[in-house]
Amino acid sequence: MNFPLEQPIFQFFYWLVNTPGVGAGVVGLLVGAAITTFALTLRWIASAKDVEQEAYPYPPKL
Amino acid sequence: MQQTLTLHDRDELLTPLYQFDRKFWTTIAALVLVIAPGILLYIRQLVLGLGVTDLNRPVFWGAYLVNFIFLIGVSMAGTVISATLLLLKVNWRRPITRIAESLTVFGLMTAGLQIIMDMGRPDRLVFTLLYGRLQAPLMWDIASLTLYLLTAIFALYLQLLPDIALLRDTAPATAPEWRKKLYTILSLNWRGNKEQWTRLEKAMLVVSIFIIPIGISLHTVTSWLFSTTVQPGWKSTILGPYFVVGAIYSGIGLLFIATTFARYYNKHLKEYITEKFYENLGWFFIVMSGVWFYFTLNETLVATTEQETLEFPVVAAKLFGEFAPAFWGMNLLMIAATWILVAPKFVSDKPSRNLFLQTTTGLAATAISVVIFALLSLRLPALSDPNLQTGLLLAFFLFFLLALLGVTKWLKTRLITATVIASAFVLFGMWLERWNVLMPTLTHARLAPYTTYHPTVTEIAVTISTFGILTLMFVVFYKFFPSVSVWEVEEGRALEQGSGD
Amino acid sequence: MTDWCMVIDLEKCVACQGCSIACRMENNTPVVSPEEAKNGRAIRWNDVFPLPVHIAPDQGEYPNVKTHYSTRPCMHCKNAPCVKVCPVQATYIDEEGIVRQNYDRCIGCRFCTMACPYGVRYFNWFEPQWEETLAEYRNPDQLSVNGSLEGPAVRPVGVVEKCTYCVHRLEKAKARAKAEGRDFRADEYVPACVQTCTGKARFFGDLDDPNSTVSQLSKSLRATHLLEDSGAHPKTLYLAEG
Repeated sequence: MNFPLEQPIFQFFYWLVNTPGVGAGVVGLLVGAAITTFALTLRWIASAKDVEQEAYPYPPKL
Repeated sequence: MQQTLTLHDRDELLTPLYQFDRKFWTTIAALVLVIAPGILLYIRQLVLGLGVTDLNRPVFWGAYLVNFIFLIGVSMAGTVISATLLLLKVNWRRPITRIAESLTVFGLMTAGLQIIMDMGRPDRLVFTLLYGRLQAPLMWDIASLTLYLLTAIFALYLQLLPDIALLRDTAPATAPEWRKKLYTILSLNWRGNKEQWTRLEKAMLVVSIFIIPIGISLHTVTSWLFSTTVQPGWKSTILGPYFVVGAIYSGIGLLFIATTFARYYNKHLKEYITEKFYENLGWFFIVMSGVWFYFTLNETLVATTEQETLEFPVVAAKLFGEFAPAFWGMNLLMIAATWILVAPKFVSDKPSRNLFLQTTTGLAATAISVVIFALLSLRLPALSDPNLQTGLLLAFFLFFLLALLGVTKWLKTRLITATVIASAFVLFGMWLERWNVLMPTLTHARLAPYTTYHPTVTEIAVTISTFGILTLMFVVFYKFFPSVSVWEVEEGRALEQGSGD
Repeated sequence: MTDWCMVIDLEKCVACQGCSIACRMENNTPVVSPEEAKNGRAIRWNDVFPLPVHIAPDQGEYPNVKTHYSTRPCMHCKNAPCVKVCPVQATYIDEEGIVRQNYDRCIGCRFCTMACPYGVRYFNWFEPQWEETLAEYRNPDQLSVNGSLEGPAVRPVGVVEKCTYCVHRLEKAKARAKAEGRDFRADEYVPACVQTCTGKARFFGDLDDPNSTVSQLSKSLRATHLLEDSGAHPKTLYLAEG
C-alpha cells in the first residue's frame, strides 16, 4: 500500500505538526524573525549619516 | 510659506497634546465608568468559572468569539487604507493614515483580549507557548495574530518616527520631564537628514507590501477556525473571502467613526481631515457594500439550494427561525447604509415640496418601520395569523422605502453625518453578521439537542467594556502623539506645490 | 497491539440509562442542578438519548408508537477531530487506541468540543460540586500519567472532560496481572458501562484479536458507526436495530 505516512519524510512532517512545543517553536521563530527584522530596520534608519551635508528642511529650525 | 504652515500646524496639532483640560478628564472618567462593570464581572467570571455566561453544550463559543472576529475585522482598516493607499501613492490618505494604523493595533489588542476572556483557564495561557502544536488551527491564529500585531505596531512606529522627533524638538518648556525623555528615547536619534528620509520611505514601502498579505492571512485563518470543524454550515469555502470582505467593509466603517470622533474632539483637525476624504473613501465603501452583499447572497443561496440535511436547519433558523431578526436586521442595516451613501448623490440639493422627500416623513416612516420590525421579531402569538403577518411585512417594506426616500434630501447637504450614520449601521450590521455565522450553527449541532443562546449580563458588560477599552486606548494614545501625521501632510503639501505651480 | 473497542447492540438496549449512571459513579462526573442541566450544562460521558435527536422522540399515533433510543460513549475515533485541533495536546490517542484527556494541560479553549461531531466532550462551567453524601462515595481510583491525574480524578473548573473507556480500570487490571506474575489478558478489563448493562447490550474487547467478541461482532451485517460521513473513523461500533 502506498500510504504516505510510511515514507520517512511524511513521518517527519507528521512529527513536525503533531509534537507539542514544535508549534510554539515555529511561532517563536516567526515572532523572533519579525522582531529582529524590525529592530535592524530601525537601527538602519537611525544610523543613517548625512552624506551630502544638505539637510532636508524638516523638521525646520525655528 | 513652508515655515508659516508648519508653525500653524504645530499650534493646532501639537499644542493640544499638552492640554489636559476638563474635556479630556471627563472623557476618561466616562470611559472608566463604561469599562469598570465589565472588568468587575470578568473578575467574577474568573472566580466562578465560565458558567456565569450563557454558554452551554453545544453552544461552546459565544459573544466573546463574535467580538473576536468583529475586532479582527475592524482592524483591517489600517492595512487597507494606509498600506494600500500608500502603495498606490494616493495623496488624500495623508491626514488619516495615523488613525487607520493605530486602529489596527488597538483592534488587534482588544481582539487578543477576547480570546483570553473566552478561555476556561486563562492561567494556562503560557501552555500555548510551551506545548503549542502546529496542527491546531488555534496555533495558526496565534501565529498570524502575533505577526500581524507586531507588523502593525512597526508600521505605526515607522510612520510616527519623524513626528516623535518633532515632538522631542518642540516640547514646550512646561512639558513634564518624563514626556521629554519618552520622546527622546522613542525618536531613536532621528535627525531628519536626507539619508534617513530615504531609508524611512523605503522601509515604509516594504512594510506596506508585507502587511497586506499578513492581514489577509489573519482574516482567513480566523475563518478556518470554523471551517476546519465538521459543524453544519461552517464547511463553506466562501467563509475565508467572506471574512476578508466583511473585515474591509467594517474596517472602513470604524475608520470613518474614529476620524469623525477625532475631528469632533480636536476642532482644528477639520482643516486636515476634509470632506474630500469622506467623499473619496465613501466610494470605496459603496463598492465594498456591493461585494459584501454578493458574498452574503452566495453564502445563503448555496446553503438553501444544496439540500444538505444537516445544514438546512441552520439556514432555516437564519431565514425564518429564531435568528431571522438578526439576519434580516443585518441585511436591512446594510441596505440602509448603502442607500445613505448612494442616494444623496442622485438628488438635487434644492428644497422640494414633494411630501415623500420631507425629513419629517422620513423620520416618521423610520419610527413606524422599526416598530413593525420589532413586532415581527417578537413573534407574538396574537400576530401569528398568516394574513396579518403578510400585511405587516408589506407595510414594513412600504414604510422602510418611505423612510429611505424621506431622509435623502436631508442627507444630501450633510456628507459627514451621512457617512457616520452609514458607518454605524455597517458596524452594527457586521457585528450581527459575525453573530449570524456563529450562532445558528452552534445552536444546531449534530448529535446534541438544539438549544438557544442569550448572552448574560457578564457577556454584555464585557462586550461594552471591550469597546470602551478600544476607545480609551484611542483617546490616551492621541494625548501623546498627534492624530494627524504632521510630516506626511507637510510632504503632501510640498508635493502639491511642487507639481501645481 | 491492543486496539480497544466497544460494540453496542441497539437491539438489546432497553434505554434504562444504567450505563450513564454507572459511568457517573465510576468517573466522578460532577452533578449539576436541574436548571443548569436544562441549560445544556449536564455532563454525561455516556448519554442515552432519543433518535433522531432533533425531532420529537415518539413518532406515530398511540398505540402505534415507534421510539428509538441510542446510547453514546466516546467513539474513540482513529482520526479524532478533537485531537487534531487541540493547541496544547491536552487530548491525545494512546498506544492502545483510547482518546484521553489531560486535565492539567487543558487550557479550556473548547476547540475540541467544537470539532467533535458527536458532542461527547463536556466542559466544566463551574467548580464541580457534590452533595455531601454523594461526595463520600466518590471513586478513589487514581490514574497518574507523568505526574498529572487523569480518568476519574476530580476535574478543576474550566477544563474539558470526556469518556476514557474507564482507562483507570485498564491500568488496575494490568497492575493486578503484574502483581500476580502473569501476562495481562484483554478480557480482564471492561468499562463500568459494559459491566452494568442491563440488557447485556454492550461488548468490549480487543479489536486486534480476531477471536475476541468485538472482532466477531464487527463482522456482523448490522455493524455500523455513528455518523459514518464525519470522516473521523469512529471505533465504537453499533449493531443496528433490525
